[in-house]
Amino acid sequence: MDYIVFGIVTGCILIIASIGFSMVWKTENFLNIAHGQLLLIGAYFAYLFKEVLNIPFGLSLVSSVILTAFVGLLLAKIFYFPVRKSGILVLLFTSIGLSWVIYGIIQAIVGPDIRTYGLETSRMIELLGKQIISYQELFIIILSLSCVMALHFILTKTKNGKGFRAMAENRDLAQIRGINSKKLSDYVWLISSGLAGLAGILLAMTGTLNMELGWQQILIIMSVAIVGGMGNLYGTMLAALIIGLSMDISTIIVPTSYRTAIAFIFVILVLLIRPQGLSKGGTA
Amino acid sequence: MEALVFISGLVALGGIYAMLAISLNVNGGMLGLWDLGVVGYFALGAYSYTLISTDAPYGLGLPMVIGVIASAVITGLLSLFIGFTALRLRSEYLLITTFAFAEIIRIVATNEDWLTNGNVGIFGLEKPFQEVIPGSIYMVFFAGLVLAALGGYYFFAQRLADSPMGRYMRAIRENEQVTQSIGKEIFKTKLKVFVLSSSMVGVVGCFYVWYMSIIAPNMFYSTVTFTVWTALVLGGIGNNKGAIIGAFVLIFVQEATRFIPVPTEYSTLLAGIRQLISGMLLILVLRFLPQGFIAEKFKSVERLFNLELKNSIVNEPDGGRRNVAG
Amino acid sequence: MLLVNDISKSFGGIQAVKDVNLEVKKGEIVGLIGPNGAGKTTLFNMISLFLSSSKGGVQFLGENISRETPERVVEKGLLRTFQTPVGFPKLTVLENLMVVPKQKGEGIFSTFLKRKSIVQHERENYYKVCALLEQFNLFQKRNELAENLSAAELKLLELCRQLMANPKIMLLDEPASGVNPVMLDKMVEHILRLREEGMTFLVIDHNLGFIYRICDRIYCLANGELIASGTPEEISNNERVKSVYLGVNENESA
Repeated sequence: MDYIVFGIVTGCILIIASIGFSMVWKTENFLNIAHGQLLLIGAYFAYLFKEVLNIPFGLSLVSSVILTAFVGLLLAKIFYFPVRKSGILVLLFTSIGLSWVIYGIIQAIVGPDIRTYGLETSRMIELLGKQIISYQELFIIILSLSCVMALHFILTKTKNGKGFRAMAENRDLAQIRGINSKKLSDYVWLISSGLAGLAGILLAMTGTLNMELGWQQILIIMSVAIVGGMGNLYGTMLAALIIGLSMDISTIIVPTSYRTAIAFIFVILVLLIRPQGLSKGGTA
Repeated sequence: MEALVFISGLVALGGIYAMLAISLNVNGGMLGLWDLGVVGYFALGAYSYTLISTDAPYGLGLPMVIGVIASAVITGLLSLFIGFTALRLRSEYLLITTFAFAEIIRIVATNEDWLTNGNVGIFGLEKPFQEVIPGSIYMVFFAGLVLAALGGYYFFAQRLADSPMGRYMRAIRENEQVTQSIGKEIFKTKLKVFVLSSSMVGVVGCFYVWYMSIIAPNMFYSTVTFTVWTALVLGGIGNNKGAIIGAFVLIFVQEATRFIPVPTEYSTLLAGIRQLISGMLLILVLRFLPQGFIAEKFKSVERLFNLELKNSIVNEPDGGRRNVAG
Repeated sequence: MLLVNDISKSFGGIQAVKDVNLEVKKGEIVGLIGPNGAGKTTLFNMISLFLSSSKGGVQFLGENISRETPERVVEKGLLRTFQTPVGFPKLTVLENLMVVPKQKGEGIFSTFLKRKSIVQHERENYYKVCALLEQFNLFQKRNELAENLSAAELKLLELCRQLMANPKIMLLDEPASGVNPVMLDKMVEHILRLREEGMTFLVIDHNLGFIYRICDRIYCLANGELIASGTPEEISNNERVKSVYLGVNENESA
């Protein structure tokens, strides 16, 4: 039972971590490897606010997310936008270079120590005399669900959301039919980076904060994005849940260090059986 | 003498990376596949070799040559599987699948103690001709061996590049859609070249084992893959000479920074800065020198195959003539 | 020769092509016109099977080709060009064409083993290419990289390249865009000459003058739907076609 709860929590965090990645993939057409390092940025911002500046955790969380969103947009403007015309391969390798740069800077500042936010261990909620879930875990699940719902609302109800869906399918056609792709892509970078920051903080909340977080997560995020069907947002959410659950449940039978490998096995299975991913594709 | 041994060691390491860069150039440079699994084939080749040629309890104790061949074959088989699953689809799939496999191989090597002795690794591995060459100058000999192998790799890759096959590969890289639109079955070609390139990397794994004389999972982090790609981008994607130069330059720069004397408390700062520099270097080269140090060279088909024009066709002004020189 | 039945495609919320029917007979030059974003290229992509259609099918030489691969369709003799004539920018003009025929040299082992027959092949191939380049006045540029050619030369090169694959019908995507009037006359000459030799064409272009000059029949698309078809004369006098071309902006923002 514990494993299922852990799995759901992992899945929820993965949803938040991968949606942004998928959105960028859909609109900019390249795999943003530096997305993993944005998780790291968010997590360390929260650490800075909470532990160094002694700001309450809730406020630290919100301000780190906003800050990461703008850092992400700024990095995109400095590093990606100028080389957009050179093609996706250049963008891809620029993002790898950028990952190194971010990783290097953070490592130079914080060093190799493993840190935590120093949060109190939260109480467990009892149901039918059994402890099933802690308040912290419940908080993460509710937060992710509300993010997903907010995003769903934006995508289906607002003008920009519809524009995003059109742009994701066929950028040129969307542009011709009057969608301002420039403004829209700024929004995409903001949302994507903000979500990445949030995911980083949540990950650091449930575990510990260390330098390798970004590199470890980007591989799982990429797997989720593939299994979910190449940037399809709802597919990505489903894939995140499935992969999160199976990674944690698998630890009953295989050593914990194989957790990541489980995610990859899904990728290979999907490529062999359903190359288009879990969802049918079509709508974003 | 010590300096000579030290320089030989540097040359050997540079040569190993140059061989990796050439192998990567075959599929990443000429064919344009986004392969982020270099370190995976590298590790698989190295482990296959070790487990077959080392004496019990770890290995089977077979001759070295069989180990080398096995490393090529086993890596080839794995890449056949990877290629078969991922090459049909958009290039992002290949990128993620290769990246993932490289990680899986390292995770397996870390965890399966019975097979690989886990994190500790296997020590004191034999090197070729160790009995005949005195230990003090062995590194010099080994550097020569690496350079000879590098020569072979270069000759092979260049021959491929200059052939109709090379032209076809570059066409696929330039534009898969157009290549399909003239009726080529690009999947088969991509698969063949992908397997070839991975096997080439697998064999380099043997050289790395000889160089290190140990094998352990921590030698095979994904930074190796990124270093090889950076070397290729630096040197000039698609150019075999560029691949060699890029690899040597990058390795010399990286190794040189290890000799800057710093107090230990600054060592993580320095490690961070080294990462920062590598990353910035890659970004800057991509933006301002996208062709690398040496751009891809173009040889006239006429010269390569000694083609001469039929008299009936040569009725042009002198303009185009000089290109036909050969 | 080519028959398109009720073909449709939508991207996300946008209906790019909706229930289009068209036919091209042997030896004809058929035009396909319409404002930007009308779905012309999407239609081409579906005919050449680079894009799967959401609905409907394509028949070529009496066979349903909707389930074939793009390569098989080429073998049957259906070739297409691309709107942006990028081709292989980092290959020379010669290489751009010499890469087309299937040959023995295109294998890893044969590269090292069958040296002699490769050279022989290359020689035959080379003469064939040179003769073609001569016809299209590109011979002197044969050792230039394709990326250094002018837009018009690229269009010609694109045409030559697809000709190397022995087509029966060619789909030309904007052969006249970016081509100056002098070169345009050349282009018209080449296309008409090829038709004399038995080639069939389906042509997309924005240059209506060019389309009216070469085409036997014309189809007009707007917002993914077929709104008119007929001879150049009928199309040039068609009120709906006129309104679509004049009122482009109103239609686009809708």
